[in-house]
Amino acid sequence: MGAAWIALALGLALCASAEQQQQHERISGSAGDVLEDDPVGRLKVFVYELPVKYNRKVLEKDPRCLTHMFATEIFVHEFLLGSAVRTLNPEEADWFYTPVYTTCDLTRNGLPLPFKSPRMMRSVIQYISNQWPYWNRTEGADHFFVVPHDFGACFHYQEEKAIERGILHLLQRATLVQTFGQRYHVCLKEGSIVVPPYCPPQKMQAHLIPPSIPRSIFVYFRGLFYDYGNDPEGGYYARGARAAVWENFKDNPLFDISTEHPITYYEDMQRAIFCLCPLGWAPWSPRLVEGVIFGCIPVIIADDIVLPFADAIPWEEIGVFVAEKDVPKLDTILTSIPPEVILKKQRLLATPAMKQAMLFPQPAQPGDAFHQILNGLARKLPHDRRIYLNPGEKALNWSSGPPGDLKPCKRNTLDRESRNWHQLLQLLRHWCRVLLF
Amino acid sequence: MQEELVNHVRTRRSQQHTRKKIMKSGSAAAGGVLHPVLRRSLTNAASTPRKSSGSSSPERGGGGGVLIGPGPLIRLCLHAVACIASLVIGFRFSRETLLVLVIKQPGLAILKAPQQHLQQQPRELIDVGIKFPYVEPGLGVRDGVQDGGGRLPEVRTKSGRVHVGRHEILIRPWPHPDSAEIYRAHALLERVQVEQQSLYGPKERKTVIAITPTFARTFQAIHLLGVMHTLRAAPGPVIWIVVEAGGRSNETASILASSRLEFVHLGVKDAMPVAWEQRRRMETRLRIEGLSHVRREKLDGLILFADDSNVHSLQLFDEIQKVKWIGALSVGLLETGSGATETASSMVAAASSAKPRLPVQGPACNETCHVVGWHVLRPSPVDGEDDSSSSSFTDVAGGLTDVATHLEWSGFVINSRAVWDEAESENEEEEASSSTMEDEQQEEDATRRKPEWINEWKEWISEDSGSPLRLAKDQGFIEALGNCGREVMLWWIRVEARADSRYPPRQVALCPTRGYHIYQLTRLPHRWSLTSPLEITVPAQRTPWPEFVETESTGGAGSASRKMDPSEKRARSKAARRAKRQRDSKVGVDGDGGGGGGGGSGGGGHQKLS
Repeated sequence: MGAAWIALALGLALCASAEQQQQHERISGSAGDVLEDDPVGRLKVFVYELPVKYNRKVLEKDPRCLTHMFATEIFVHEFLLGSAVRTLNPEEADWFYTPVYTTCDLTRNGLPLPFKSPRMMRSVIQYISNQWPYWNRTEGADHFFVVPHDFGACFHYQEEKAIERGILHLLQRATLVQTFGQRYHVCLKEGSIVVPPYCPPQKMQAHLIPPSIPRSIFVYFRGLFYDYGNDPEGGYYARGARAAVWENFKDNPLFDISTEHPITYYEDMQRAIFCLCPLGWAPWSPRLVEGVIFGCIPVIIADDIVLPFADAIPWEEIGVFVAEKDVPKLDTILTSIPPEVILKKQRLLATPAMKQAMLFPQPAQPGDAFHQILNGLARKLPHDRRIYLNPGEKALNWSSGPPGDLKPCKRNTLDRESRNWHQLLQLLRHWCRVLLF
Repeated sequence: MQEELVNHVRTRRSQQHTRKKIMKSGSAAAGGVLHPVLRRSLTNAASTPRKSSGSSSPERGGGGGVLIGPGPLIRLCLHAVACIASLVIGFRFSRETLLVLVIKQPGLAILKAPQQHLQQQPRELIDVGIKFPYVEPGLGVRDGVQDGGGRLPEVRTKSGRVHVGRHEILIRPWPHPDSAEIYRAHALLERVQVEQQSLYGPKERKTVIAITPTFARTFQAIHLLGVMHTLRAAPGPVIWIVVEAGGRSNETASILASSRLEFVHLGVKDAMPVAWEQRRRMETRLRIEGLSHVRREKLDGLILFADDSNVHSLQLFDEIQKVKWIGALSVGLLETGSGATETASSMVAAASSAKPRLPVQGPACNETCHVVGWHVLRPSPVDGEDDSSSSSFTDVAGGLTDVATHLEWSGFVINSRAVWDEAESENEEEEASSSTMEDEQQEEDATRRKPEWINEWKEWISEDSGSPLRLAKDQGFIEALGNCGREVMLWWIRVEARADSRYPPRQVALCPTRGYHIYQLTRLPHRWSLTSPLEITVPAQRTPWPEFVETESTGGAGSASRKMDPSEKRARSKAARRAKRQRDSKVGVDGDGGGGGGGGSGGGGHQKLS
C-alpha cells in the first residue's frame, strides 16, 4: 500500500519535475537577471532557537566540519542569523529554518557518517513541534532544512541503502536544500533546492592566476578512475564512466588526466579549456564549482544530473554534457565543438555573477549561493493554501522508518567508543527481534 | 567528492559487495537477503580467533570449538553465539523452504547461490560487521542491469531511471588518438589563446623602442639578423635604434634597409676597442647615444636594450607591456668559450662544481614579489684574453656600484618618459591633467608623470659606468617581470670571432661529404658569400658517413679514376703532390687532389694537412 502511494507520488514528482525542467530551460536563456535577484523583501525567514546540542556543540566537538564540503549547513545558519530576511516574529515568517548540523559527524579521516543524522533530525523535529505551533500547522511544508550529505535526506552514504531508506519520512513535506541532484531519484524530492558543495572561497581566491595566462591544456582531470577499495570489480564506481575515461584516454596527449593531485591543481584548472566533471559515487563533485570559478568549461558526465541552481544558472550554456555511454567518443565530441561556442561558454563562465552563485563567502556577498538559496525559496512563495492542515489532521506518520531511526537521540550522552558498543548491542537486539519474529 | 568520501568506508563498501555477490544469484524476496549477512557476521564471531579464511560450513566449525574456550566467560559467549547460529540456520532453512514451496524457480536459485559465493569471500570483509554494526542487515537494492558475465538477473527495485549496480566499462575498439582531432584541438587552443590575449592581454600596446649597439664585424650579420627577425615578429609597433661604433657602416645599413622596420641608424666615430672592458664601456656609450636620441626626439614607448647578441622570446614583448617605469628581466647567460672544446670543458666544470648555479642574471625577489637584490654573474672576456678560466662567468660579490656595472643592460626595460627632459614632460603633464581627471585618466597619468624616485638624466648617465639601475633612487621601485624574475625570456649569447684573428682571410666550412672548402671571404663580412673561386677542396680525412664517401667515390667522380691502372695513378698522384707543394707554400695547406672532384679518388687515406 505504502509502496503504491510512493510510486504514485514519484510519478507525480516526475511529471512535475519534467514540467519544471521545461521552465528552467526557458529561464536559462536569460539567467543573468535571475542570478542578480535580491531576495531581501521578498521573503521572511524565522530561525528556530535550538539547544546547542543540535548545532554549536556538534561543531565544537569537531571544528573540521567548518572546512569540509558539507559545511554549507553551518554557513547557511550563520548567514541567516545576520541576514536581512531574518524575522524574529514567527507569525510573519514565510519560511522556518531549523539550524541542525546533521552532517557534522566525522570519522578520523574527516569524512562524514550520516548514521546519527536521522535520529538527530527526528529529535529536533520533535523538539520544534513541541515548542512552537508552526510545525504542526503544516507538518513541515513551510520549513526548510539543509541536508548537504551525499544523498541528501536519505541519510546514507551508499546509494542502494539510501534508495532503500528514502527521504526521512518526517521531512516528506519540508523543502530540502541539498547538494545531491539526480533526476528520477527517490532522494531528490520535488521542489528541493540543489546547491553547490562548499568550496573554501579564500583558498580558491589565493590560487587565482591572471586570466591572460594562456590556456594550454585541452582536457584536465584529477581524481580517481577506479575505487579499488570499495569497488574491486569495477563498474560500480561512477557507473563505469571514470574507468572508461581512463581506459580510452590514458594515452591521449590531449587529455591531462591522472589520479595524482598536484599542488598546482587550481592553477592547472585555470590553464585548461575543459575540465572533466564525471560522476563518482554520487553525480555531483566540487569540480563543478571549481570549473566555474576557474573558467574551465565543465564537461559533465553524469546522466540525469540536477545541477546546482539549475533554474538560475544556464548550465547547458556554460558546460558540455556528455552522456555516460558516449565517454569513448569524448575526444571527438570535444574537438568538434565550434570555437565560437567555446568562446561563448568561456565568456559566460567569466561573468562574476556566475562565479558568485557558486560560493558561500564569509561574509556573504550579494548574488552568492546564500542569496540564490533565498531566491529559490522566494520563488516558491506564496505557499499553497493546501499545505495548512486542518486541526487534528495528520499527514506524517511518526512511527514510520527503520527501527534504528526511532531511537532517541543520544549522541551527547555517549562517547564514540561506547556508542559503538551500544550499536553492537542494538544490532544484536535487532537480530533477536527478527529471529523471534 | 564521492571518491573522497568512500575511502573511510572502504571496508563497509566491500562488505556490501560481498552482499551484492550473494544477491546476484537473484533472491527475489527482500527478507531473503538478510540471512547471508547475518550468517557471515556470525561466522565471523564464531571464527574470530582463527586466521584462516572462511570455511564452507563455518558456523558448525565455530560451534565445535566452543568447549575449548579458556575462561567461562568466553565459553558462555561462544555458547551464545553457537546458539544464535543454530537459530539462524533453523530460521533460514525454514524460510527458504517456505520460499521453495511458494515460488519454485527463484527459490531454487537462492538455495544454490549463497553457498558458492560464501566460499569466495575474503575474510576481512566479514570483520566489518563488527566494526560498523550500524550497517543494517537489510537488503541492498539493485536495479537489474544485465552485464555480460552470464549472471542471473539481479534484484530489481526501481528508483525511477536510476540504475544502481554494475555497469559496463565502455572501451572503444577503434584506435586513437585521431590525428585530425589532435589538430582540431590545437586549433581550438590557439583560438582560445588569441581570444585571451584580446580580452586580457595588453589593451594598447606601447611602442617598443629597441636600442641596439653594434659594430661591423664577422659575426655581425648573424647577430643583427637574429634581432631584426625578432623585432619584425614582435607584436605592436617597434622603432629600432641601431647605434654603430666606428661610424655608420655600409653593412649595417644594408641590413637595416632590408628590415622593413622603422629604424634609426646612428653612428659613433670611435671604433669598437678590442679589449673586453673597454668594449663594454663602448657599448654603454652607444646605448647612451641611443637614449639621447630618444630624449631629443621625445619618442614615447618602452625602451628595450636589444643587444645584437640577445635572443628574445616573443612572450617577452607581451610581458614588457606591463612596465610602468623601470622593469627588470632575468637574462639567461649562455656560456661560450672561444672554441667548442672549451665550452664543453667549461660545461663539465660547471656541472662538477660543488655548487651548480644557473647562469642567470636578474632581479631577486622576496615573497611579496619586490626586488630585494640581484643575481649577478660577471661575464668574463670571451675574446681569448682570459682562456685560463674554466667558466666564463664568475659571481660578483660587491656593493651596488659593482653590481650596476656588471648587470647587463639588456635585462632592463624603461619607460622612455623617464629619460625625457623634465621641464617638457611637466608641460605635457599639465595638459593631461587639465583635460579629465577620471579614474582611468589618473591611472594613465601615473605612467605619464615622472615619479620622484627617478633620477635626473645628468645624475644617472655616465659614459663609464652608466646603468639603468642608477635611474631609480630606490631599487625597490624596480618592477620585476617574468613572474618575478623566475621566468627567463631573454638570453645573451656571445659567439664572436676571436679578437686576435682579424677578419679571417679564409674560412673553413665543413661540407661533410666532399671535404673542406677553403675559400676567401670577401671584404663584405656580413654577406658570407663565396666570391672568389674555390682554391682547393681538401677531401675529408674523417667523415661521419664513410660508406657514403665510398659509394660516392666509386660512383660519380671516381668513374674517371677507375679507368687508370694503379701504377699510373701512383705516378700521377706523386706528380700532383709535387706540384701541390709549390702551391701550398702560398696557401699553407698540404693536400692532394687538385681542384674539382679528383680528390675523392683515393678515399682520402694518403692526404694530410700540414
